[in-house]
Amino acid sequence: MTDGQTFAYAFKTEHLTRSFSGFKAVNDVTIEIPRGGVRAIIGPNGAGKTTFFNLLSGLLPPSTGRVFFEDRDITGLDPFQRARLGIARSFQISNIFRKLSVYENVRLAVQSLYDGKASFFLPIGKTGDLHGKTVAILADIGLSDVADSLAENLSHGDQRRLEIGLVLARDPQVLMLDEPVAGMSPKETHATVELIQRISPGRTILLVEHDIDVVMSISTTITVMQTGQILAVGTPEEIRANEAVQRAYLGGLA
Amino acid sequence: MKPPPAPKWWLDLGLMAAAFVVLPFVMPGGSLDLNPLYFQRLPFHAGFIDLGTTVLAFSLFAVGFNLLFGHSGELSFGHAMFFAIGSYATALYTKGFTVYIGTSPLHHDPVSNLWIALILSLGLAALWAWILARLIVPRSSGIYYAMITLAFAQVIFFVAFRWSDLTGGEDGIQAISRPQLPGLPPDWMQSGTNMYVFAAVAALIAIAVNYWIVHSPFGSVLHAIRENKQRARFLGYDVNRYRVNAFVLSALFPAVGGWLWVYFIQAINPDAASVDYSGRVVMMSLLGGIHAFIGPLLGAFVYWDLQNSVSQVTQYWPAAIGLVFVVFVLAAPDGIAGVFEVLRRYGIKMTMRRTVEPADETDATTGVGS
Amino acid sequence: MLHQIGDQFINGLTLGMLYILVALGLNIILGLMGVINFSHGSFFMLGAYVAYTLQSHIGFWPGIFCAALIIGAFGMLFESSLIRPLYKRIPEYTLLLTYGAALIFEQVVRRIWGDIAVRTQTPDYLSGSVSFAGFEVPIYKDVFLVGITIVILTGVWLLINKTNIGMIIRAGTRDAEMVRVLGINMPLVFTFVFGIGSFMAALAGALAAPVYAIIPTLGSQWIVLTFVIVIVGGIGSFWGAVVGGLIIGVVSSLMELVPVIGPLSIELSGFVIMAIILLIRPRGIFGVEGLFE
Repeated sequence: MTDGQTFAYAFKTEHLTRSFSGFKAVNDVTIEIPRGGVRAIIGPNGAGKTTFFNLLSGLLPPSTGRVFFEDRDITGLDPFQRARLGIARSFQISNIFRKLSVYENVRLAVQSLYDGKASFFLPIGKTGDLHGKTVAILADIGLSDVADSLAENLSHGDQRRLEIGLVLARDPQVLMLDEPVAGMSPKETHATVELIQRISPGRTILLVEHDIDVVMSISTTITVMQTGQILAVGTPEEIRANEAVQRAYLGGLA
Repeated sequence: MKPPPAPKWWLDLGLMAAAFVVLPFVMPGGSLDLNPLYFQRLPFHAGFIDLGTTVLAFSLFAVGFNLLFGHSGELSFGHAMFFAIGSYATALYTKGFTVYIGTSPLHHDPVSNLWIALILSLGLAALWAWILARLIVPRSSGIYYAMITLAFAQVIFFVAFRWSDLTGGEDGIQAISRPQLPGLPPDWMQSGTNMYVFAAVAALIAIAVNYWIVHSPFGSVLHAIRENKQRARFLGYDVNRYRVNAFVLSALFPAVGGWLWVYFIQAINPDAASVDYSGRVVMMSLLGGIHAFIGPLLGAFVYWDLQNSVSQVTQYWPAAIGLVFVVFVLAAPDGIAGVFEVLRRYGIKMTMRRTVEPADETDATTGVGS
Repeated sequence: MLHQIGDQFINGLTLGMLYILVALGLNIILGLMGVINFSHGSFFMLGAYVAYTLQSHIGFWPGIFCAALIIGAFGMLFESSLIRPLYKRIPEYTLLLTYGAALIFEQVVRRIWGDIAVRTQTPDYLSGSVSFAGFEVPIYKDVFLVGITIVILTGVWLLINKTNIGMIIRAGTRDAEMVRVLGINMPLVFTFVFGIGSFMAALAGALAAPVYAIIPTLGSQWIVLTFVIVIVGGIGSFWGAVVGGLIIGVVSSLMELVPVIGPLSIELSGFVIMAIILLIRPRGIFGVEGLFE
């Protein structure tokens, strides 16, 4: 996991702004996200959390500002290049290969490690230990039993876990999860939270989540966003006690 | 847990070889009598061995096309351009030409070397495909991609149509001689049967290469791109590089098809690059089934059967082709192979019902991919 | 030479006007529904043939108008019966279906009207030509056709920009799903817009019938050019179709005057323009970023 080097932060942004026809969804955000731990981003609807996520993962280019990963400027990099640097992300709506089997989904994710290698035109069975790694990940996310099913036939919770399995395959240093427990039953939520806690050592996990109980129970720090800007950063206890945060949430409700 | 079974290539390709042996005997049509002018009667009313050779050339065209539509999920509506490039490259190389660039003549003497003709066909098709792919792939997808490929195929069509010094214009090039194979009598290829044998061997090799690509890790990434480009990108795949490579690879098979086709009919005209030909190959793939490896091959066979039979009855036969198109798009988008697949699953379901109590129907209703 | 250029420019302008009428309908349909209608060229051709037949019974103007109405209604029937079932599938299938339908239409036309070109007659008061700045300008082709196209385009512009249905079309082009959620009957809007597009294509065909030879393969010839115009102008854009149509019409006409290479590349010029546009503005001159990603 660790490559010998240590960096103070996983992500750093400088004056990051993204506007949609004049509306600034993310407005001049300058922040360092420390390495390691579970870092949650919360905020009322429309606070710019997902846009911020999209800017970090490369789905959207910023209007202005820069994004750094470790000590590298990644502002202009395509998502596949960021993935190769060790940034992986899941999406709000399960983003999997629906018409392929669960096994094939994970195998494709593992295979991406060998992308561009000379052995690529070899038969699938001859390329590295794809099978072994695939089986290990399937066991990790608890989907070994349904490996042969088509991904679209899985339950909602299993699809979300499959996606976490896909992003785990490259053994990424940073894992970005966009609402990983949205729409899950309490039982599925519990299993997913356990999974996140199990995979978190040695990685930085970035989390956008609405389920405030989940956020409070697993986060190392919480970043609160409002109207495209950072309102507060702190431990769960600090955030709970923060008046500005209370105002933002209660104000949003009133 | 065991890895999923590897594809049984020896079985699939063995069956294919067996099918090629049987093919001429199941093609309908005239007689074994080989009229030296039969190319004028093509593509209709050909004798069955000729129709068999036609099917072989077009099945290569179709497997190339389907590497994009069936496997990468991208519809090229201009793939005839590569068929035409292969055809014209072979025809011009074999027949020779003289063109004037300004006032200086560019002259090429006739040469009858089928391997150099093949290399030229492949090379030119790959070059044009690479230039187009670099232009098209980063800038388009979906229906936009289909429209742009269609438009660029027209470029090849109009070059063939207008540059008559080189291409013979609307009339095209006729009386192209068939090649000689080393160690065989010089007129060996003149026989329709021998032509078929030669085409069958060439087609089988090309199809084996296609089979290899589709079942390789490269092929599985194409499937990933077909299913979900965004996810493939976020997994770390350079999606556009794959799409460019797939485009170039998919251009090679039509070029081989064109190479065979020209030797077979010994003539070529701009129609080979027309929207009509591009549409035909879509039709063949759709008819057979774009998600089955056998699909485009089956489709080429059924298509030529259909065209040959209907065109003997009515001069308005393209309407029948259109009707089949409409019906298959609406009712059987996975083609004949898809229909068989549904029947097979349905059959399994029926036997399960009899042996096991009717408990769970969910996994039998998954159907086939859209 | 200058005189020739002027002549060809006017020719190109007329051709461009007809291109606009055909391309605009295709482009609105494409922008709103994501349907790439290969049959659009067939509707153009059918408009010409139906007008040709009607005109011998009911006169020139009623013939043109009724032909366009009939094809417009037919387009609505076509969309609601054959294309509608495909909306839940990937959009490529609509291209395949309409391509198949275009094959059928072409053969139906061959069966009814034969393979020989037909040409309709203009009324006496529109035939002949007027002198203008040293040019002999044919009244129907270069004055009347251009004028009526501008009138029609103004009407369509008003429809899109000043009416409720136009507002739905513009919103739907950006995000059809959102408009549906707002409670708009989108299937009905789709059918209506498809009808308008077919009407315009047929109208263009009927108006072109006195000037250009009408043959059964006209539909497939025009549809490819229309695609090029849409790509050059930008998908879903009114002004894209207008500018794209004019550029392709004028440039391809002027090419005839270029020595040696010109006559060989009348058709090619359009594709060269398309390639250049793709290089510098991938979404077309008036195209919107992100549409159909």
